[in-house]
Amino acid sequence: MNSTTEQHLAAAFRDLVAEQPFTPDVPAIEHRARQARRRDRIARGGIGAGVVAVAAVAAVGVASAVPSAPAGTARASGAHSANTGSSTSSTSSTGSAGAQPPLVKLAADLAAAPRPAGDATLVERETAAPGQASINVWDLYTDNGRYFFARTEAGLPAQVKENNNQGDGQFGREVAAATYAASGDLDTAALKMAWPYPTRVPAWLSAQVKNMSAGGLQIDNYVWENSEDALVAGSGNPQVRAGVLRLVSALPGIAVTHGTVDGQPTLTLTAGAGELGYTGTDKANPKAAAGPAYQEAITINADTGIPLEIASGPAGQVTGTVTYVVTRVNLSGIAAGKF
Amino acid sequence: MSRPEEEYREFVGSRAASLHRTAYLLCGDWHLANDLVQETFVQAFRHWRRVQRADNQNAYVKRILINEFNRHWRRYGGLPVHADIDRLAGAVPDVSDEVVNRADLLRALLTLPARQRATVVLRYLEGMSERETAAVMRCSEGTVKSQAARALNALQGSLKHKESSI
Repeated sequence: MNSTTEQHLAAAFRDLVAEQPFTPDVPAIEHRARQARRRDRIARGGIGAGVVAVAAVAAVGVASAVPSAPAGTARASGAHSANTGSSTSSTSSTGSAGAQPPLVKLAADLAAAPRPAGDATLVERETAAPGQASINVWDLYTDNGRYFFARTEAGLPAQVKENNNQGDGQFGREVAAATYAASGDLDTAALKMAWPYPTRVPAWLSAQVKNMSAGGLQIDNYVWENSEDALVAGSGNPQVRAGVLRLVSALPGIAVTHGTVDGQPTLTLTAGAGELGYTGTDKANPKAAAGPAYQEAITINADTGIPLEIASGPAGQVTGTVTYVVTRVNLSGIAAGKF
Repeated sequence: MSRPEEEYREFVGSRAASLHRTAYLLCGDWHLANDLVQETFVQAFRHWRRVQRADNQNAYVKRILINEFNRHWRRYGGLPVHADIDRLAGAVPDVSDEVVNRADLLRALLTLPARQRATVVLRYLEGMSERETAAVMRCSEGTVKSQAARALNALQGSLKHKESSI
């Protein structure tokens, strides 16, 4: 920087930006980044129990769904992909001021269900997108909060034996929030789920908990996205599923669609603009519409609440699906290669 | 809190103010600058290992900021909706106002093409060398020279100092 003009410009620039305080909201940054990272992982079929995929409001194709059973037998669904299988949808309803009756009833039933044997939940996860080959990976969530991942089922024993825990405690905290939500105070549960981090809940988030029924608030987004994680990570535990369903039933923007797949009853819970905002914008404000609403749909077995599929995309457009096969297992058995 | 988280938070604390100033001169709006910086840190968190491995972390994160700004520019184009020009015009004159009208300068800066604007902000606010600026902008040093020269020509009218010459 040699000329006088350049020196004056530098001084003028410094003057323009002087005395403007700025404190970044680090917890909010980390929250957004963690969500984005989970989406990244799902997009490439890699680590993490993600939640991103496809689907519109209509019930998606799901193969079979066998109720949860004692250790090692709680297989939830067969492999399937969007728009396949003989699925039908029937009645649907959208939350408003009140909770969703089907979810509330199912949550109550599950809360009273016995905890199955085993000490971990094995999830086979298949990610599919139109025009791309599907990817199968295996996630193993232990009841004490550890998380193991392998690209093949045969690769899991080594991960367990080496204690290659790839979680940072996040799944464990989300599952704990869901467990609390099964019978605890709903506002407290919502905050636990919305902010499952070691740091203190931000005041702005606490202030929103009493207005969840208003819809379109950030807490709705936080509760929804983290509940998806908890539902998958804790899918082998009926109390976790109960807590997630109770929380989701309190979100006003959720549409519930009854359906059947191959003769088995399903519920599809679809979140839209109120929880996820609109496509084409990064703004935290979900009302800042720039494109069609974003949607995510969770299809669960209507009797067990076990997740079968999570799908997402712009309204009316299917861009990919993630399907799950849930099995309750013993960690020692996995380490020994017994599935 | 894990060690990487601690390091990340230290990083945010040490870079936030500088990034915020740069973002403001890129977009001309403090609120939008907040968003750009927040998004920059989100991206840095997502790719934290890469940031840590970078030879020049400062340049790396500035590159992220420039990308975020460019993305915003492509999406919305031109001036931000709520540029702070009017507020500046009403500011109490200070020593700097003896040599430059701040509102005129900001207005002129915001009318520059995005690349020229980023170049002069990095060069003259950040004090980056032509080589450093070229690395962040992913262009040659010659391009930095030409972009800066054009920008200075355009801004000259706003720099009402007595020795105005480029």
